[in-house]
Parts: sequence; structure tokens; C-alpha cells
Amino acid sequence: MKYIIIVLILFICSSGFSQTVKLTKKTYIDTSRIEKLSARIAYYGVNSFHPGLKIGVEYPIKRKIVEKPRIPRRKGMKTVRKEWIFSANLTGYYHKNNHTGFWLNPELSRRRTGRRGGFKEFSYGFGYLKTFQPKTYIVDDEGNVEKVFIPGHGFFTASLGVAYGKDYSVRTTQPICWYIKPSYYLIFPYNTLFNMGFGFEIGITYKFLKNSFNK
Amino acid sequence: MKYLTIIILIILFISSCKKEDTENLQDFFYLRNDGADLPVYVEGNALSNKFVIVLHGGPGGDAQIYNNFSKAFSDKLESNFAMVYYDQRGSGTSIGKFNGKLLSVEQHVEDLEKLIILLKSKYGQSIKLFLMGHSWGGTLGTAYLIKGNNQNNISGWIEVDGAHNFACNKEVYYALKDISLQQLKSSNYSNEWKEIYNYCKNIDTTITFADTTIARLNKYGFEVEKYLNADGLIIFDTPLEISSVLNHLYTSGYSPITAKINLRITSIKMFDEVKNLNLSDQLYKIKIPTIFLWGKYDFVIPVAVGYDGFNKIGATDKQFVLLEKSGHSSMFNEMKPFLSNVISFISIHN
Repeated sequence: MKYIIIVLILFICSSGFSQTVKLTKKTYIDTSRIEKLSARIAYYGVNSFHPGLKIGVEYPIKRKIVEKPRIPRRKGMKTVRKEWIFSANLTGYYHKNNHTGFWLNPELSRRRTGRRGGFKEFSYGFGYLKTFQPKTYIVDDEGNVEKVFIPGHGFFTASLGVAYGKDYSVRTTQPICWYIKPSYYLIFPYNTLFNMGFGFEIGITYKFLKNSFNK
Repeated sequence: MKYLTIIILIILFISSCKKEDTENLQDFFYLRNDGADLPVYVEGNALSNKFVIVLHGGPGGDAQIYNNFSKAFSDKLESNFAMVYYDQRGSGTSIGKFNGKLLSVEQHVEDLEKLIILLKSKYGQSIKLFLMGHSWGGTLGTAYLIKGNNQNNISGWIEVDGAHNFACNKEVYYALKDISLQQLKSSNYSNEWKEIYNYCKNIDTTITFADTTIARLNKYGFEVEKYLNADGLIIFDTPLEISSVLNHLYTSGYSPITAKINLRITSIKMFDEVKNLNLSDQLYKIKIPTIFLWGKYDFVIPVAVGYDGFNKIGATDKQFVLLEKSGHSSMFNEMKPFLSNVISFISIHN
């Protein structure tokens, strides 16, 4: 009987000690800090090697804060940001013996930023590329040769990119992010149909207003 | 400030005096014609006054494989002559916007006519022009030469494994069947040869070949070079320099992705016109000095097509060089004999 009482007491105590706060996922739209304009500057390599410079501004148009339990649950809650970001970008690059390009490429990005500031992002862009070529000649049907004034072409573009980076403003007071972003783009109409290429971007973003998402 | 102005003026004066017709000319420009901007590289010894226009393969290939990609090959030619490498419309890194209907043999010929006018305008009416056409470039060169008085502009025609008769599917079939039977037992790739032989054996030669059959034979024509190389019948004596390959891919005007897309699109769009193209009955019009260089083991455009062209052209000053250990790209298979024959041919003709 004595043993039964001891076992019962231990059982009750262990049940009492194991009681914890029930962790549940919470999602809410953050509107208070939506007006955070950022500027970015990046190296942009067309097909990775033809050097270029990309500048742009980005603005989050929708932001969702998700609080959910970490795994294992005893570690508590984590806060994740999910944003739709609009960015306007201008890229200039030089492809030797081919052309110099200026590319206006607005993008819509879906970004997920973790509790430590690491983020990944998928970007979808639609833009316009203006190229400038080296000297170009035209020969008319009579055989007269003329040099073309400011030769080049204009093309529409569509692009897809995946970025990985770190936002230091999440855990510190530094309003800086760095990121790398491989991308794929389509140029059309090009010759009779289209052309495509790959870009590699590595850059930094500066936030004009400090974000404090540490909840 | 005064000194700075003087220095700037001196620099401007010196740069304005730079001779363009140097022994080592490096010129680049575009030719714009009917919606296409064709990149043109003129490199080499312009003092020779001899300009060799390279007509690349395809349709849809690119000219830089004979230049940046193979410097050992191009350097030797450039030390003797000025080489003109240009990407045809819808090929290589050519750029522009044009209707797919302009991807035609006739339009390609017009582009070449205008390129020749431009070259003469830039480097002088007295320059001597030679055409060197490889594979599809042989078709284009032939189509140019048989049109009107075009051959009056050209001092010599170098046809390399070229296709004056693109409809040579039966010749490809017979050549592949013979070689696959021959290699079936002795080759290290006997299974592959067996597959080719069996495929050929089942083709009905009494009817016109279907497009899929033509495409398959063409694919085999390229594939067998790997097996023949392993069996020692084909060699590659052009050294492949990593630095020139990297330069070609990443620091030159070349763009491998653009070139691949152009090749794919242009070859598909021109297939219907080109597959039945046969200029054999007009070869008699070609009267200028001509050299044919052919790989004995070319199964893309078999050597029988080369002999047919050689026998039918109207030139009296003509020669046929059979390269015994070469396939479809004899300039890279046996570079040294290829170059010595080409350099000697150009050197003696004005």
C-alpha cells in the first residue's frame, strides 16, 4: 500500500511538472512597418562573366508575420516574415565585342525571412532591355555604305530569380542586407524568336528606416 | 593646364594616325541587313591584301569555332592573310529582329553580297577576296558563286566538306551502311556500329526518306566520328588550349547560350528549304580557282558528294584534297595538311 501511494504521488507530481504553455501558430498582417524603402546596389554578371552594375529600390507592399513553435517545441516560438516586395531596378552591363546593355527590370518578389535574418526570395520580373552596339554599317541596294547612328536594339524581357541573403536589421540595429541571386532571363523578340541567358548578382541592400522585427 | 592640353592633343594625334591596315589587324563591326545585325571580325595580316571570308556551318552555326575556339588554327591563317569571321543571320551571336521567312538561302546570299561590298568599301576595292565554306557554308558559298556575276568578286573558292547538294541522303545512307558493316567486328564500339547497321538495313531506299530518317542519319554521321577516333581512323591534331576555350566562352563577344539557341531555331526553320536543296546542275557556272578539301571519313557529307561537286564545277583550275584521317571537320582533324594546302592555294592565286 505504501508503494502504491508513493507511485501515485510521483505520477501526480510528474504530470504537474510536465505542464507547459500550449504553443500555437499565429499569423497576422503587419501594416505598421510596411513603409520601409530600401536601396540596393549589386554586381550583375550577364552569363555570370560579362560585368555589370545593378541599382534599385525595393518596397514591401504586403507583409505577414508568422509566429510558430520551433522544433523541438521546448525551444519556444519563432517569428518568420513573409513579404511581397516590389522593386525597380536598372542594370547596366558590358559584353565586349557584342553590346552594352541597359536593362530596366521591375520585379515582384516573395521573400521569407527567418528569425536570424536569413532570407530566401523568388523574383519575377518583366522589363525592357536597350542595347547599344559597336560600329554598325548598312549597305543599301545601290551598294552605298553608311554608318548607323547609335546602333542598337530594344527588347522585352522576362526574368526569374532566386535570392539568398541575410538581413542584419532583424537581430541587430544595422539596416543592411547582403544577398546573392542567380537568375534566368528571356529576351524577346530576338532574331526570329527569343534569346535567353543567366545572370549572377551579388549585392547589398540598405534600409532607409530601421526595421525592428524582433518580437 | 597648358601641358595637359598639349599631352591630350599629342595622344589624340597619335591615335588618329594609327594605321588600320596593319599586319595584325583586329577589327570588329556589325553589318545590318534586313533586320539582322551580323557580327564581323576581321583579324590578321591585312598587308597581304588577301581577305578570306569564313562561311560557317549550320545553318545556324557560328564562325568563332574557327577563330577564338581554335587559336592554333586561326593564328596560322591570320599570320598569312586577313581572316573575316562573320556570323550569319540567326546564327552565332548575330542579333536583330526579323521575320522567319528571311531565314532563307536567298537572304543569306544577299547578306554575303552586302558583306563583300562593305569589306571592299572599308579595306579598298583592290583587296582579293577568297571564300572558305565549311559544311552548310559550302552550300552558301556555292549559292553565292552561281548567282549573277558574283564570282567576279572572288579570287578563289575553298570548299571544305561542303554541301552543294544537301539532298544527299542516299549517299549518307550508303556510306554509313558500308562503314558500319566494316567496323562491326573490329571496332571497340561494335554494339554502336551494329545499331547503325541495323538501322540502315531497315531503311526502304526505294522511297524518299522521311524527315526523321534524314535527321537520324545526320545524327549518326556526327556520332560515328567518336567511334572512328577511338579506332584510330580519325585523328584530331588541333591542340585544344584551355585558355582559348575560356576566352572564347567568357571574355570574347561570343555567347554560348545565344549561339545554341540560334543554332536550334535556325536549323529547324531552314530545314524544309535546305533538305531538298541541290545545286549540282548549276555547278558548271563556277569558273574561279577552286580547292575541295574533304575528310575520307566524313559521314555527314560523304566524300562521294565532294567528288560529284569537283567533277561538275566549270573551273579548270581546280584540285581535290582527300584528307585520309579526317571526318566532317577536316580542318581540325588534320590541321597541318589542311592549312598547308589552303595557304598554298591562296598564296598562288590573285
